[in-house]
Amino acid sequence: MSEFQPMALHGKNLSLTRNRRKVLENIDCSFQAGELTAVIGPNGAGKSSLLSCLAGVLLPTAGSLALDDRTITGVSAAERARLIAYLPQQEMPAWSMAAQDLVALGLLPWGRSLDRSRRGARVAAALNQVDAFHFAARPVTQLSGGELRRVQLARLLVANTPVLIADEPGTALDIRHQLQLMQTFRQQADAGKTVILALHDLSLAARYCDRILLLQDGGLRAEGTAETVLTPQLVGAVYGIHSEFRWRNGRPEFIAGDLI
Amino acid sequence: MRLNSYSRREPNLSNSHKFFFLLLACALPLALLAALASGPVKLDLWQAITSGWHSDNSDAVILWQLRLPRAALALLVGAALGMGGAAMQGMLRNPLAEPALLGVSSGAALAAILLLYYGAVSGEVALPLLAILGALLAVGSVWLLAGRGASATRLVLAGVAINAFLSALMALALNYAPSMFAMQEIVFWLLGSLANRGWDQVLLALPFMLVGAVMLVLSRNYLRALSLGESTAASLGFSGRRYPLLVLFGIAFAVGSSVAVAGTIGFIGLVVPHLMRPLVGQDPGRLLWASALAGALLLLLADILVLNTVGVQELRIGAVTAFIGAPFFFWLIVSGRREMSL
Amino acid sequence: MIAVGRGYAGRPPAARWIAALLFAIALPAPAAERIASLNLCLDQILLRWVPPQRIVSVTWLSAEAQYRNAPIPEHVALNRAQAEELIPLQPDLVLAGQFGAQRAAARLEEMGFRVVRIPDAYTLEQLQTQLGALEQALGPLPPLRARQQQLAELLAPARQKNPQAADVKHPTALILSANNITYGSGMLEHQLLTRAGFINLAAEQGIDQLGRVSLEQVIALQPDLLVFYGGAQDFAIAHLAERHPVLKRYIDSGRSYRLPEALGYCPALAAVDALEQLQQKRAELVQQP
Repeated sequence: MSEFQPMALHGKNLSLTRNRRKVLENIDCSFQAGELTAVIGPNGAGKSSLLSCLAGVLLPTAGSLALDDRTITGVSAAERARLIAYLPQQEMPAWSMAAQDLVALGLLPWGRSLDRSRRGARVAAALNQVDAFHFAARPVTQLSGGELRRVQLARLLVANTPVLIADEPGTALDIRHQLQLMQTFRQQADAGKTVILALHDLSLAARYCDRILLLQDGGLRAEGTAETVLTPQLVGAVYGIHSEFRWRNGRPEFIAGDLI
Repeated sequence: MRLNSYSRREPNLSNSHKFFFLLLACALPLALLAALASGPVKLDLWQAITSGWHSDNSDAVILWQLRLPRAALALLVGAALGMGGAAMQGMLRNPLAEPALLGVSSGAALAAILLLYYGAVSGEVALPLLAILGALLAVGSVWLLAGRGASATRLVLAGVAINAFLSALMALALNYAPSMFAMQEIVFWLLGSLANRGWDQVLLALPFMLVGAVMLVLSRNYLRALSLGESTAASLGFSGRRYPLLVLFGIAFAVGSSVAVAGTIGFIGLVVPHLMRPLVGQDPGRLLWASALAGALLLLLADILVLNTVGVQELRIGAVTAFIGAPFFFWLIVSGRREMSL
Repeated sequence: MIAVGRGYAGRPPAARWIAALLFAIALPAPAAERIASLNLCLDQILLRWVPPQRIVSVTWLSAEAQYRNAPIPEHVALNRAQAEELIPLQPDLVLAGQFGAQRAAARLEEMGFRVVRIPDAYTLEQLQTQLGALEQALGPLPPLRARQQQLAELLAPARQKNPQAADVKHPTALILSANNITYGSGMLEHQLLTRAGFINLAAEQGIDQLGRVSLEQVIALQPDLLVFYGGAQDFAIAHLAERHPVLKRYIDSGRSYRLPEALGYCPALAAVDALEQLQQKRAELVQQP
């Protein structure tokens, strides 16, 4: 498992109906290996639902998913868990386990195929990646919100899956750890992983992501690079704010303005 | 260097915890000896043991046919209730969950009452099977009513409602039962008893308890994953109805077969997982067998207390466990207000 | 060793005496033709030994499957021991027990009905008194008289034999009733056992009324005869002890006996038969090597 097979994830015509309400409607999307994709959109646009469907947690009411060229129905839940790691928006641990034990839960899909020392090494590496090593042994109930989030991120990363899906991973993190987190995801993508993040912070999306999916009312409003999606027209139409997109020192920058 | 220092800490069972489990494992045979030595008749224990199973000597008969099956049943029922409680807390992600408090035991007891007092079927195996069915219906309703990851308040309210309803049905069923002893036996069904049990009851319950234990052990990784919530558990490969059903059936088998032979014994499934959880690093998987071990010991100790209490009537074992458990439950609720997990 | 229970059979002896005296003094009344009963045991006695056309009412309990031996005749009304139920029936004799239904009995008495209270029987002597009182109230009844004689005959030879005589073999017996209850020296059941030639182990343990006996004690005391009590046909946890496999060898080897349930609530019906059967059982046991 230390070596992963790069893998692309394709969603075709994804639709989801919950409580007779259409949450997602005919979404076509593709996520390539080595690509860091941000899914953005206002509250209730369907970001979390889309990510849940992509992670296999929710079954879309219509449409299909494919990993490379295999449809997801042909992949067992256990195998899918070894290919896709997912961090939901809210994840409350029920028991006050040690941080390192929570991280080790990310290795559950591998069961006993990993021996204890290799498991320990992976957990340690993941904790280091999110700068959480120094509280590895602390019970999670004694951690601050941001510290807990980092531990959960370590859980996401620990299994070295080819596909990473995280729903607003930066919530509760201070700015330094948010940047660190985005850098970590950037590195993961650069190493050949398929990374999909739901983000609220459009400037982070603009700065780090290769591609942006803009959702509105359950539909895909726009898709492309930051420059093509975060235009003042689109952002204004979807979010109702003034904004500016510019390049500075060769880096894309998004600045939010006043309400329209 | 950091990595090395980490991997040395990795075995989550620290040495002191291992020592504690060793102590627990040693306490079991000692408690068993104490249980075998307790009873209204004074026995020459050593002679009774050495004269063997087939001996007609009355001391030997008392030991092998009366005290040993009772102690074995205490161990089995305690283990099943401990494990069932641990699984229930894991499944509902809630430390207040307990089979007797939430009506699972009452469901089993109601089914057993209907069969025993009214049943045209005299088949022995029908009793645990029906009790298991009753427990399954009750635990299923708790699960559906309180939902997954429900707040403690909602869970306890749903459980109290189900328990009250089932207890009322039990009283009603006993009220109209043909036997004139039926009504006074509500006490047995509410507080349990190990009196007058023999190997027949042990053998009746054992296979079903084992099936339940196997089911729960098989679902240990699901319970581990579930400690991060249902979505995360699904993403870790535990999606579909298979896993919750396995846990529900496992709990029903363990609790149902216990209730069928020993009545409702409360609080074991609450207290034991709580005491064990810190010792297994809060791991819901390892908690299963740790709770089975400690549950067996706790119920055997409670029964020793029952056996050595002098009185015209035998003390009800459920009263002893409630005496230990109810203040504990109260303390949990009070202390739980301060914790985020509740 | 065996815990001793209090209560149950302890009745004020003075009351018994007065009741017995009253019946001894009273003159035999003309035979009643419309008899009503407010007591389960008296119901059973009436239904068994009195021509049905003379009975107007018995208690509802007698119609329950548990107590019913034969269908209740259609003209017999079932009462719940309320005076109002009996008044329209115009009974010329109302039988009541010594306890229970006293309010109804008192009201009927006030209204001028003839109410006779038949004393309960907790010993064989009291049983004879009870049968005598019944005869006083009902007038001469051949089956009742036969019963009385049977009882007297059974008691007489047993009295001649000294239970402590060394030449007679006295097997031991122990009663294991529902809820692990056993019967001590002050009880009718004890009298039946000793009259049948058994030594009641519970009495040996110093129990004079009701006591508790655990299965362990049953095994340790090793009675020659294990005596169960009442029907175990309806399930109850109370009967769990007698279903325990450890008692299997008693049942398999025929060293067990079951006292009829009626002995508990109406010894007049069952005492004679039970005593005969116990004597027979003893004869079998003594023959056994």
